[in-house]
Amino acid sequence: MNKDVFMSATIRISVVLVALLSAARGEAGPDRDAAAAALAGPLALQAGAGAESGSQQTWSRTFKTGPHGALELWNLAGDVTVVGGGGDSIAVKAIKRLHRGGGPSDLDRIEITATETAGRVSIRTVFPEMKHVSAEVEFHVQVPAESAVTVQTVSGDVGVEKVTGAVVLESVSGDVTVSGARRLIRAKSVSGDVTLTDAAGEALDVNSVSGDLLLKGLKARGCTLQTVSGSVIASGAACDRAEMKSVSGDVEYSGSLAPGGRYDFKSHSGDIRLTLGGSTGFALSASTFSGDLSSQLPLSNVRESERPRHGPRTQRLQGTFGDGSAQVDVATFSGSVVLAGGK
Amino acid sequence: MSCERYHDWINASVDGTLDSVERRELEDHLAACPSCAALAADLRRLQQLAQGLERLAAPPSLWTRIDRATRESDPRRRWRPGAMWAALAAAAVLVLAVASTLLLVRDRDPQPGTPAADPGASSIEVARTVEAELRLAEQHYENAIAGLEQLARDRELLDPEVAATLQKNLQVIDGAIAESRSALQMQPGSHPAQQSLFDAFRTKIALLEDTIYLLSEIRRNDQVSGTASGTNGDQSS
Repeated sequence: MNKDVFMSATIRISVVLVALLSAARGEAGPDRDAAAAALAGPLALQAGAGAESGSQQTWSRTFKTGPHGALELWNLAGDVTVVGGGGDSIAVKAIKRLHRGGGPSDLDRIEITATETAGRVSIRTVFPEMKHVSAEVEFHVQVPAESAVTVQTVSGDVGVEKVTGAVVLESVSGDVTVSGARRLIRAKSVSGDVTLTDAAGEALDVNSVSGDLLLKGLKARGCTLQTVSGSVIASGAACDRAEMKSVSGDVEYSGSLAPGGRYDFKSHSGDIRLTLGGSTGFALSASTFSGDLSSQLPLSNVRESERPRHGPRTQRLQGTFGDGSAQVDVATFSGSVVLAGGK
Repeated sequence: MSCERYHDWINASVDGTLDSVERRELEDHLAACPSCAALAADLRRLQQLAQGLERLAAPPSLWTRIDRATRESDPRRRWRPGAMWAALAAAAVLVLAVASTLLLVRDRDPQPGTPAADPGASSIEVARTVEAELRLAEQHYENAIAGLEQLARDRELLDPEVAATLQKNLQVIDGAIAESRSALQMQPGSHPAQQSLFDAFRTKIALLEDTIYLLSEIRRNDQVSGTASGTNGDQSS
């Protein structure tokens, strides 16, 4: 293990994702209620005008933040959508919804609290104890494109579009979807998929435990993409440094390399496929214990390990493509490694 | 804003979790406050030192102390942040120890294209040394994992589906560990098998750390809410 990996693991510990679960355990009860109350802000706002019915209520609020404001949104249950655009205000619309049991009075008891300080808007939902009632709050938020956006949900999908400010998204059991983000910092889920389209950032941390990581058009100085049982698939990627790992899923990287870049691809039982375009040369170090290893790219200075007389066909390959300026390390235990050329 | 508030931001800045707005404000403050600037410099220096740590071994008694502390304390108080960080620090030290060992092992792993070691007594000696180092590294990881599993044992506090997801993925990792271990019994010098084994250990440690953090946050919120419940006004809309 190198020191970077250790530091990465240490830093990763500080991620607040799992804190969201504090109010998500099992059925509603005093603990959940108290945890939600503990996280509530000091100000509770009245529901704004909107379509009302026995099973649905709307709440809306607009905050003038300027073009570089910040949104922090915490939701226990329900999807959250944030869209970047023009203007200098953050507009929040929430729909409280009952799925099972309860009535209008229960909707009234679901609080949406908000604080706004110096352009920073903080929105939180507070679910009271409601036995035999299933409810959610769905959020639709419009922000100035350059706003910083942080969304944390326990149960619910998170979607963010066209936000060019710093973006941090975390969900426990929902999917996370991002498109057009220019400064994505973190996108994580425990059991959901994480899908990024045309996202960019300095040092991206994209993580799931059981979900897939699907990235299209990713551009990053550095990125760490990890899942345990899902797959990691990046297409049209351009990263200066990349670390992509899965235990049982496949790992695919299709895109270009940067001169001097470092790339680390690992899977225990999944296959690893690299489709490398562009003109950047690289030094390859690839290994598999029992899978196959093949390169469709012409490598020079090739060194292949000798196969043992008995046992699995352990393979190891080192070679250089072009000027060898980037370093590409590929390792899988029982999966196969395929190296191909791209456009 | 008081300096105390900025101390949290300094920590977050070193961890890389501060957003841009906060970072700009913090930088302004650091420019004007020598005391906070010194603290920030110290923390960054500590981070750099941590990256350069040499091989260390945590005393086995540390886990015992941590475990005893968590058992004996009041359930609402036993998860002080310090206790969690002590546990994580211990795990980190163990992982560092393993990392050092692994580097030793890797250094001895023959490179592709190089001739196999002479089939003599010296190669047997090297093989034995490598095996011993691997066993030592494994032991370090197993100790770290055992300690973390002990700390993460209250997974029933979690949402059942989330707990099931974590459990299922721990089993996936355990499967990878078992396969790698079996492969190493056949080929102790196999670099892919070594790498896969230690990657699986690291992944398991990371997942357990997340689980522990999650549990600690639950307990922390219980504590906070216990204090707040008496003063929280009715804010129903």
